[in-house]
Amino acid sequence: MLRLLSALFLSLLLVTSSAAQNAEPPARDATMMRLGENWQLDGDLPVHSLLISLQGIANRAEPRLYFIYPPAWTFTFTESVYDYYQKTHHVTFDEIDSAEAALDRFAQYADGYVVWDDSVRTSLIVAFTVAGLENAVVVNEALIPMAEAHGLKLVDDLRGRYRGQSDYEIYSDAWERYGDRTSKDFVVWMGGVHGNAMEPGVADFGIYQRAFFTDLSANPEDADEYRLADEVLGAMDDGALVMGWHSYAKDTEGQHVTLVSQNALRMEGLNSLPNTSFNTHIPTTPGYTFENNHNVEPDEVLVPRAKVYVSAVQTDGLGLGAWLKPGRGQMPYAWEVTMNWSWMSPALLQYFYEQATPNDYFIGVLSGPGYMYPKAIPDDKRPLLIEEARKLTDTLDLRVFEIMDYSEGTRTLGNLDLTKEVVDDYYEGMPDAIGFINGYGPANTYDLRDGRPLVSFDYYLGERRPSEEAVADLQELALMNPERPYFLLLHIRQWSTIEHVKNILDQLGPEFEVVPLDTFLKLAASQPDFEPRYASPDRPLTGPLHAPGSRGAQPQR
Amino acid sequence: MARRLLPALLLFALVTLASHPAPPPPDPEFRGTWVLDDSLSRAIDPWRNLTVEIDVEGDAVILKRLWRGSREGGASVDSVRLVPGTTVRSEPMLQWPDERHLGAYIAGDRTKSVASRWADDERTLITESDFVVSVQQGEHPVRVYTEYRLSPGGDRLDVMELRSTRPRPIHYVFTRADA
Repeated sequence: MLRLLSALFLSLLLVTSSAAQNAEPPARDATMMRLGENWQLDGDLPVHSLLISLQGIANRAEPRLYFIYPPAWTFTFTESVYDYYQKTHHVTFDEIDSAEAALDRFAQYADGYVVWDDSVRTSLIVAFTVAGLENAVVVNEALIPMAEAHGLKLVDDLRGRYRGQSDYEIYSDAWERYGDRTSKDFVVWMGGVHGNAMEPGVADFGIYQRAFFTDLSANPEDADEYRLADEVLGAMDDGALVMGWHSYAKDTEGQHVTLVSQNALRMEGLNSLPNTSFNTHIPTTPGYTFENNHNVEPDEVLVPRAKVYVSAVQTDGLGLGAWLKPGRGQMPYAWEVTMNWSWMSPALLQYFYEQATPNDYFIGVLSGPGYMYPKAIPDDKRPLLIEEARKLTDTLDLRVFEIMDYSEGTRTLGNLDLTKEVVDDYYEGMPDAIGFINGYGPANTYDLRDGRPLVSFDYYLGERRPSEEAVADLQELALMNPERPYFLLLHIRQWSTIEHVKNILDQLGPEFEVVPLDTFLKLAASQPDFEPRYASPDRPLTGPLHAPGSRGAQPQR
Repeated sequence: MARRLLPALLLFALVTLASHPAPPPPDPEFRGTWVLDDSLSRAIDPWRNLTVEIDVEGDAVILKRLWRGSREGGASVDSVRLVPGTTVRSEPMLQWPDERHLGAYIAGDRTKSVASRWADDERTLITESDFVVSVQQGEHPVRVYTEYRLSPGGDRLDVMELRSTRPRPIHYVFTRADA
């Protein structure tokens, strides 16, 4: 089980220990290029796709090509990490500004080109699969002369092959043609934006890993696509990683991650994740170990006062949202660590750890070694995945672990609560955790065992929530929960700035006290204001239930 | 003192209710589907929109609030068949839709007790609801006073709420769906 994870974990240790023998990271030369803001099929997407495929190939052996994505890109750190690599990891970048220049330098690492069909968007996704298998760059018809001018030969031509076909037919053909040869450790869901646009930032890493690319629907109503998606996921090895994201046009996040989880796999988002084929080659600096800003000792006992204790956690992981925006460090804030970056992009994670202020506290996410829904994971697989997550929390010095489950609905409508059996698995599998938190929007699962609480989010702050309403929301919760202490855990949408959050909390008055998350959990452990409770049959299940007939749809104990 | 006054006040209230004439027929202008004007209303996130459907059957007023979310967010209905001058039970609710950012969930039998009456020459419908929510510290009662106030032209519905647990009044503005 989880051979891939164990191997990667071992290789991370080896990289760390061997690098520790050297005083300084080795000097490297690399190339940087800035990508534009146009990701339209009839705009710059063809050139961007060519460049990203070239990146995956050029970076196979060593980190050669790095992109700075536009300011509006979902992941906001590419320019800042570019500076960081130069200052801290001795990478010297030479900037280029065109696809021609990129091919001049890196076409030598490609074995050819694959042509996708301008009139069939899905053919580009299939072309990424071919690119990984054939070590080829992807081009549309207009870019063929550029590729050939750099000595590249045609390795596959998708023009005309898929016209008039449904996505199910296209992916059935692709899976039959290429599925036997693609990685069983990585698969890429090239979803996200749809229609005339695509943001394939993760394609370099998928090509690097020779992954199968798709955006099949996990909506059970799309019966054919759902069945094929289940088949593709079912063909992966235990512990495989599903990179990318679901298609906003086809299904929901909850449906997609549920199907992934039913196959005992985990997600690592998003489709726009940039530069991983580059980052994966950059180790942490010699001797570096990840150290968190703990505010309490594991065995410390804190005594709460008659207060409303508030703690804030940003949603959706590092690299998104408020990290680089003004205000960080002004108040205690917890950040969800994308734990797989410890082996996938170790120096990128070091970048975040080194930037952390004393008010920035890191926690492990999300339900496992990656994003998964524990209620949908087959019962016999869940402890093994939790064990892999525990190892990552050890590496990253994380003592609080966050759980989320949308397999039975969303924050708007559904059941985000955990069964007792699921909670049991986390307590047993993570004995060193000082506590757990649960939900995305508010949830209603609580527990306390051996001084280690499980607290659900009691409030979700969306980025569009007006300050005056948010203040009233929090005051209302404090009225509905009249006992003191009251432990009020906030989940802050990543698009909110810390300045905005601080402005809201500053209006609440002296009864409210904002504390770091580990302090919050220790205080709650001493005087809990909740009774243990779990998802149970008397709570109606209102979300999309596990679809019958999928491989992973096994009875829960 | 208060204990002695309470039975007398209750008796007075009963006599008053018993002697109250039959409720007047509801203003037909209330009927129809009303769509939230989000530029004039308090925020309803994470819901995307809110409509109020009002129908009249004899003395009864059927009041249905429909909250719609994103594709992932689904929808939620909060429906009650009011008989002004009396207290009724609402339909069971799947959830308490009003404040979905809060860890507060409809509890008990999942219904609301709703008293209602007409005012202002039947241009205002007043409701007073009682229900119980499940929160982190257990269960908590909630009382909501609401006025559905029809504009003079009959083309706008102002809904104003005071909730026992919320320090801030709530104001929604609706316009006719077919306007």
